[in-house]
Amino acid sequence: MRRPRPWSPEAGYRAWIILPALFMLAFFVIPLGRVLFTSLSPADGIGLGAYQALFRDAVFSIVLLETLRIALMVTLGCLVLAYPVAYVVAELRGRWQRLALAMILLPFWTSAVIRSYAWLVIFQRQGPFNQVLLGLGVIDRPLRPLNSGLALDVGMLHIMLPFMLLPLLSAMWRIDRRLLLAASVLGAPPWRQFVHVYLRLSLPGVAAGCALVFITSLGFYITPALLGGSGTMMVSQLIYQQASRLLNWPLASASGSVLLILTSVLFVLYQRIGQPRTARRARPPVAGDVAEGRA
Amino acid sequence: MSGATEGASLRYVAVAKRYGPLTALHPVDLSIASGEFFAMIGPSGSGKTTLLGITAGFVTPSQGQVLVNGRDIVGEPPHRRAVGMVFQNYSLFPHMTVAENVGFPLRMRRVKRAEIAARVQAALAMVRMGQMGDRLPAQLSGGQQQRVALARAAVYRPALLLMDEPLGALDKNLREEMQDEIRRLQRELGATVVYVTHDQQEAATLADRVAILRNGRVEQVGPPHEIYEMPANRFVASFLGEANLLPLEATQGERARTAGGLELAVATSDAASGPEPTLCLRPENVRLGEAAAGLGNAWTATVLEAVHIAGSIRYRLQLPGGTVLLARAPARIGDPVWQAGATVVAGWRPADAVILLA
Repeated sequence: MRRPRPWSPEAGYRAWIILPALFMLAFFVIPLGRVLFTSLSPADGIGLGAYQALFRDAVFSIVLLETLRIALMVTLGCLVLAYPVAYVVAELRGRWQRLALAMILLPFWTSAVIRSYAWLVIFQRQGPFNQVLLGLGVIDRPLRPLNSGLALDVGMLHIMLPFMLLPLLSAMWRIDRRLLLAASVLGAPPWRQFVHVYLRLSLPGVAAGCALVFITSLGFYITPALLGGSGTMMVSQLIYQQASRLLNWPLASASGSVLLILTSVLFVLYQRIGQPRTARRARPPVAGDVAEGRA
Repeated sequence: MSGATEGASLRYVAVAKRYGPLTALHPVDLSIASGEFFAMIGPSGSGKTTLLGITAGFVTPSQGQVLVNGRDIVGEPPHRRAVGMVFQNYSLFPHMTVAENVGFPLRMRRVKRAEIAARVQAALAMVRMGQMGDRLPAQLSGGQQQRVALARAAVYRPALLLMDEPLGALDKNLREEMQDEIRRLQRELGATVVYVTHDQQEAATLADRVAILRNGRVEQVGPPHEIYEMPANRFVASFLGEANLLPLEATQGERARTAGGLELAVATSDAASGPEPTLCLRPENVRLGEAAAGLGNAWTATVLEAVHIAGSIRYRLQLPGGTVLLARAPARIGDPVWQAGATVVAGWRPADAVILLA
């Protein structure tokens, strides 16, 4: 005779996980598996043919490096712009803080497509960007920011900025301001309070923001398509070309897989080294650690 | 660590703090001697933390001077004041190990690396945390964190140590253990200590002198036993220990009448010219049974309640006319115990009660 398993809160709710799990399976795992499978089965049978073809042609490597470069620039740009802003917003109180947050989030709620188009207009040959610079006499011939990559960097920076700001803010909000007082009375002048305490304690936010911005930037499609001009191409555009124009699905799948693997590796790296040691070591040792050889 | 520092002398001259129309601290004048353990106690909002903040440099006073060894430090930022401080929440840096935390003030003073290591080890040994240098604060218990905070405040041998309710977050047993630790540390260091707390027992245990603050004013300063025996007013009397406070309606010579209608014998009523003269009688000075017979004041009272608290019995008594009196008697084996409802003679010597002016 089977005894009914005793009910426990965990067991009771665990069953419901099956719903999102099914959803993920149907709309994420299976399609992804198909992409991987397609990448491994070019016309001449199962194998790494598509990957070989991908790296034989210099175009993919060039586009991949360009994509990494753009993602890195955007990440650094976001960090430089967002850190001081987050610092100020974290210091604000009450109504002013809510106002500042609304101003950060407002563009966040506007579609990236619309914002990319807006930048397209601004950076036109006859657009406000050139007119202002010409009017100020900074330049005497219109620049072509759409072809130089400037428009793309600015556009992506604008779209990604909140993704950097919000993790920074959440880390900064968690910093106990009394620690700065403690540092000051222990002999730290303001700049050393910042370097030794504030900056260090905000690093988890920096790591999270950088990971989020960098990884998201790798997969940008619309913005480079609109603002990249003829000079720049990112991996997602290349994939689109391979799939829709060349109709070479194995090649497109291989490109996508390379991007996915790269992203996963970066994410694992972030998980391993991006976490501050407080998060990793602060946990008191538990019995399981010994069994797993972690103690 | 060997060799005590010369503790700094500290003087507040008319130090006050106002926030707009709000006065957090009325002008305060206090002198604290070199090497003294000085406690400031008072309820929240009494201004004790403000005064400590002014001393540390977190709060700029609206007026007045803070003289350390005779030199005014009001204009100096905290990092140049060379005071040590222990915070209520310990304020250990969570991203640094115990050793890095304790070494922080030395690093800020650009002490050489090898010397830092040696002094950190000595400071940790002093608070019995010598083996814990590699831990992070989050891996320590509250008491251990407070020991580290003490070591961090003491490692650069400041002549003045400020403590802001350092034991407030600990449970009672640990608190008593840490009190001994702090006292020992202070003697070893020789530093002057200003200790803020709202726990009068803690202040009485630790401090050479105590200042009692209320609503931004210093109500009384003195050694704990002196304040206990001769409180300046009703607030001080009831804040420091338990007290029976009987408002007096009329006094003449060595006689007085309470608002409750009791005719009392008092030591002297010369002092009873204040606005609201009150008789202050500590519960342990009320004698019961045979011991009360023949004292200057003695009444037959009804026991309302008798509670046994660790070594003594606390009685609530009702005197004729309805006056309720607290009495405390040691709970010695064999001594008579009166239960609720019983009648007992309660009395005290006139000299055992003090008349307060306000």
